[in-house]
Amino acid sequence: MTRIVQRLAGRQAVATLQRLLWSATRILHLAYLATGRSDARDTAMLLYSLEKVAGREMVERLGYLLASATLMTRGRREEALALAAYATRDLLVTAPKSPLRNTEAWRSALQLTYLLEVGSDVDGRLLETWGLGRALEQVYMEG
Amino acid sequence: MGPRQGPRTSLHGGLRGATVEETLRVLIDTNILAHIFAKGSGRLSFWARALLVRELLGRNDTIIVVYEEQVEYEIRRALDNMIVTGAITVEPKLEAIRNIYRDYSDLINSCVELGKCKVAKRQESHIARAASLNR
Repeated sequence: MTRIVQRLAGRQAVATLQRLLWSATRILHLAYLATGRSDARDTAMLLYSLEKVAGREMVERLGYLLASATLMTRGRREEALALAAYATRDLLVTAPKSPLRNTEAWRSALQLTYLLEVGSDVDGRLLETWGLGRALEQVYMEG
Repeated sequence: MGPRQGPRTSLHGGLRGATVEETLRVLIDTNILAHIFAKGSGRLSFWARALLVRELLGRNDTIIVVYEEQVEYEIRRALDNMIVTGAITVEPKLEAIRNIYRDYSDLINSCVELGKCKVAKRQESHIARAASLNR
């Protein structure tokens, strides 16, 4: 019984952590949109990878993500994101075949997945809120 | 530099009072739009289009990214409509629009870099059509 309760509590904690990371990622993405600071987006990508791995065989992945966070704080952003991509390699839309030392390819893979999931979501909603989607629809209908 | 022609947007930021032309340039300069407005995607929302791309990626297909001049014409008209109807006074930030399109540009660049997308040449017929409609 105690074990079941512990397990349920653990799952709830993971779900809460995922929700927090989900919100933090989107807030950071909005901060990036407002300011154009790419470090905000890079940090959002790191949080996004943490959100993706939360609750899934985390031990090995967390090692990579901690190293990634350390690199990020030292300003080595491309390597940091490449490591984060490697930690989430089976969860990416497409993973590069190149070795991890090809940091550009790995960073791109994480960026692609992030932009498809978070970027398109936040950006699309913002543009829709501003009415660009509706305005374009009108143009399509008139055309 | 002479006075700027045409209706102005009421966007905030360094480019406050930018003309539609200038706003449009921000949208177009990044050489984006690509699959987001790809021909045939019709009236799908931006989000739906992105999901469509993800679907294609999942199928291991190569996405052909087409830059269409017609898009420029359509956005120009959409922005004009928004100014006329006052919708653009909702204050979309030009900086944010620029960054949104940087996102899409990065998305396509990543896709190309990973060998999942190919960029096709722009279609001249659409340029001609946009020009004729714009007269």
